[in-house]
Amino acid sequence: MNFLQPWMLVALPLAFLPIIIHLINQRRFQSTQWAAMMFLLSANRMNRGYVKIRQWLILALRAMVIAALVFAIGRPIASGILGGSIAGSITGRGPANTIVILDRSPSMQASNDGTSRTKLETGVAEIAEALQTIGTQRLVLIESNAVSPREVATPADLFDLPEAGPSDASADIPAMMLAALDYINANQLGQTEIWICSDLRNHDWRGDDGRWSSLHDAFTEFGRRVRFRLLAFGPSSSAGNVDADNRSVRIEEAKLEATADDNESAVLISLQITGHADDAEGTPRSVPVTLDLDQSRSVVNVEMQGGVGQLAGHRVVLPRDQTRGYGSVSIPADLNLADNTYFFTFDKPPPQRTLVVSDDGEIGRVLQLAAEITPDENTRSVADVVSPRDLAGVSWEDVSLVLWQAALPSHDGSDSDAAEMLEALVGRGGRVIFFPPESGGDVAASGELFGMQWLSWGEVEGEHAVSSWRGDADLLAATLAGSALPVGTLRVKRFVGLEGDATTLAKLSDGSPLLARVATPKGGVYFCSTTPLAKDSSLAADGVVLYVMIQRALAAGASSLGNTSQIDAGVTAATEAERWERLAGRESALSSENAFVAGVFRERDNGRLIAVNRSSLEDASARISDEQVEALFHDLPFVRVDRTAGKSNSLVEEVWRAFLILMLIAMIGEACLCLPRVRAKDDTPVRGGASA
Amino acid sequence: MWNQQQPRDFLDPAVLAALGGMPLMARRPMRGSVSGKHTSPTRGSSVEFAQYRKYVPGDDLRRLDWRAHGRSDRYYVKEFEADTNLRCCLVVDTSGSMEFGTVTEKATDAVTKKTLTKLQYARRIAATIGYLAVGQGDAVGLSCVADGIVKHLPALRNPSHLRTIFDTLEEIRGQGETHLVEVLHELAETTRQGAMIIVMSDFFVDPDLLRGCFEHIRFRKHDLSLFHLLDPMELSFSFGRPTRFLDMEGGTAIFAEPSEIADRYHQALQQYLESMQEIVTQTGVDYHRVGIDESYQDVLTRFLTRRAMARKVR
Repeated sequence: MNFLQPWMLVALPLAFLPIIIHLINQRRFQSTQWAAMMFLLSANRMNRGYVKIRQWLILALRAMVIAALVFAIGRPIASGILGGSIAGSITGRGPANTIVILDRSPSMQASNDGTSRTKLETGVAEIAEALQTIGTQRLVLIESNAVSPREVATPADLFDLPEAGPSDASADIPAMMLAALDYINANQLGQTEIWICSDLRNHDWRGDDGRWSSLHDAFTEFGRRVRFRLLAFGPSSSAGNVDADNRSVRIEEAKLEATADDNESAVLISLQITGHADDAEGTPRSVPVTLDLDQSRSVVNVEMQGGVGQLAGHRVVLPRDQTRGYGSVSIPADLNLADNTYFFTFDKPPPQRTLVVSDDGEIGRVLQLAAEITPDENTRSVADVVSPRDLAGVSWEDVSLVLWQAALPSHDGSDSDAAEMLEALVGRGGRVIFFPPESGGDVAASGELFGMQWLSWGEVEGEHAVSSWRGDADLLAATLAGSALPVGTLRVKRFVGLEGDATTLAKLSDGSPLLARVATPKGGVYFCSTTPLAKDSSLAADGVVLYVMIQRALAAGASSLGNTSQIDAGVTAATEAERWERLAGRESALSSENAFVAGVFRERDNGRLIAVNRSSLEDASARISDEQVEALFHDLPFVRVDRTAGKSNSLVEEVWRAFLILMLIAMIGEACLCLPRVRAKDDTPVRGGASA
Repeated sequence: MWNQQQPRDFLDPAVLAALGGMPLMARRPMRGSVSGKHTSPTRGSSVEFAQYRKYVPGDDLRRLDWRAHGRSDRYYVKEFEADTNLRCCLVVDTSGSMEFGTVTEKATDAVTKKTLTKLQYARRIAATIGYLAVGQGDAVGLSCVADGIVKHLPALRNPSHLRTIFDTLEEIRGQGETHLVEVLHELAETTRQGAMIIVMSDFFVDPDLLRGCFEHIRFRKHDLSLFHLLDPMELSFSFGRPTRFLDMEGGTAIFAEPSEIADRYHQALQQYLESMQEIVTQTGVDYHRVGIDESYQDVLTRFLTRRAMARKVR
């Protein structure tokens, strides 16, 4: 219970007034001589139970009348989300500081009917109204894009703040909580309320993230100083399940295709529509997809079958001289407008340049061949073989892939420049595959890079050395047709052990990694523990695995250097995206939020086109369970309020009328209890007699 | 009959004049020593024929009805009702509780007001009945009782005895505990049979104990009348403030919130009065419940009239 005028509660002790008056009255007694003591004694003996209780009830009701009146004057607020205590209100230890953690992810832009307020708008409005009502000394906003605390002057500012508007980037709730924790610690905040406004999507909350446990421990230390209020938006109750009644569209591929005579080119578009519940049953439905491509618009109908609509290789012919551009696909408005549009860019594929660093001519030749032969006739591929000693003259700007078969460079050695160059390449999205040096001496001389180190050469026993590999993702994934790579048929005779933290993509029979990937924020770093030489393995002889591996790494590395790119919202740093020029998308969005808003952008420096879209995870409607939420806030002062998009009922409501009604009931009850017992006039007849 | 120079505040000449014409009748045959107005249990010569009775040897032959013998050839003796005087024993409760009173009335100077206690009211009734009884030739005695018989005057017909009774009534003060049950048992036993006993008290004792007394008195052939005197405040219990009640008979004081206790008090009082009513009905006692705010003339008029009517019916 919170009060808008908590200072009025200082009058609460007045509730004891009836009791005090009663006690004073007891002391102001009169003495009188009395004859009929026998009845008085009898009455005193009988005066137990109900009469005593009645007296106390009367006093309690009188006290309640005053208390209810004081509470009513104090303007009480009823709200499940406000868990402040009366004591806190009296001592002014209310919510002095309020931190609003705002989930702005696309799923928060769902509404009940597509036209009313979205979850995000409803949440912001309710929080702003509630804070305007109850007041707060300091208001801090931590929204899912910037994930940094920002002080807001008044709660009303939340309505107009662009940073409280929609975004296309997923939220990272643990990171936002961490930011709140750091802010509380840095500013030595006292009583703080953390309001979380979210729709509890799994990928936003990351319930199994290790950060939650450390957050929980840190917040537990605050005790009741920090309280959590979760404004949880679930599926709409009136319109059924929002998630199930919503369609989303996503482009799987948009690529430029030149005809053989080079007279014209076309864009091949493959897209997928995830349908709602009605699409999964009954007759197949057709969804009109609007295709915007460089000022021209066309509509194509996509048949929904089994809840999914697929459009594969839809051909859109371009003017003869156009080889680069952007566009978008969109489906009709539904409950969530944020997932109805998807932007894409297309361009001539960039030349793929590979740098093979090796002292061994044979290995260099094998790797060069595997890198230069492209599967796509439209793509040019170049591979240069250099010795580690000749790296100084190499131009690194357009290198997509480095195949390194030499001693590992290290930062504290003579080859520190090479180490820095490799890290820079990976940092801008390039790929590196390290092969072990041939000689044991070189292995021993290897340094440490990306947290990895070569150990020593060893022999492998057995015919088929590879016991398992990751066929679902990364370099050794199965083909689009679904057939697995023949990794199991590879023969490995010798290999070098690896030390460091990496994910194994292929494992030898003794558990040693054949191919491992080091986790990096961008780009890709791979370590292959054998060489293509015949004495070491059959990588060159059975060339499919090596070829596919290199071509996939090359394509991935080249995509980061191309003139167009498709990225998920929120992946690029905001400062970097600020320099982009918006070509398509929401015009009202701030340039500081380019990285988080869907659209097409052009880099001012190099004219590169970038299509920013929501993450594929946003189309997954899985929500974190109530039990998981409870577990995350276990033992913390936590209140959860479930809301529905578009509902305008306020979080806080003045309930003084209830107290006045309570007061009235107490007064009526007191009056009833005080009513004298109705006795007939002749109840104790004075005159009378009997005679025999 | 008494010295008019000594005005008694418990005797009102107007009341005496109004009641003078009304006889004080006994409800049952009395054993008097001299001829009087009251029926005697013994048959004697009188003008009032009572009944025929078969002759038994030893009967006075002068009372044989020869005419009846002539008609039926049987011997009958004619019996006539004998009239005698009565002995009226006035029993006044003088325990502490009888000093309670809240009724205010004007004093003889018609200006000042005084409070009327139950004892004063009892004095008036006792004195008036005594006066009326002596006036019609009956003997009157007085017993003042509290924790025992405080004062006892035997029943005498002498008018000069009336002054002694009045003096005694004037002197008595209410004090001490009530031992009415024991005293009534004692009086029932010590008073010669066939007397009229009139008790004036508030009867603040257990009604079940009184039942035994009344049966004992009846067994002794006495005609028992009760004047149950109650103050209006005792009936209404209309106190507003918390009160400390001090027992007028020396018991423990009780502190009570009247609003809390009034209901139970009335319940206990009602129960007591119903018990009294039941007991007096069962034991054949002439019972008069009197609120002392009522005119004692009306009370006595009702008392005397009822007795006279009962006599006529017989």
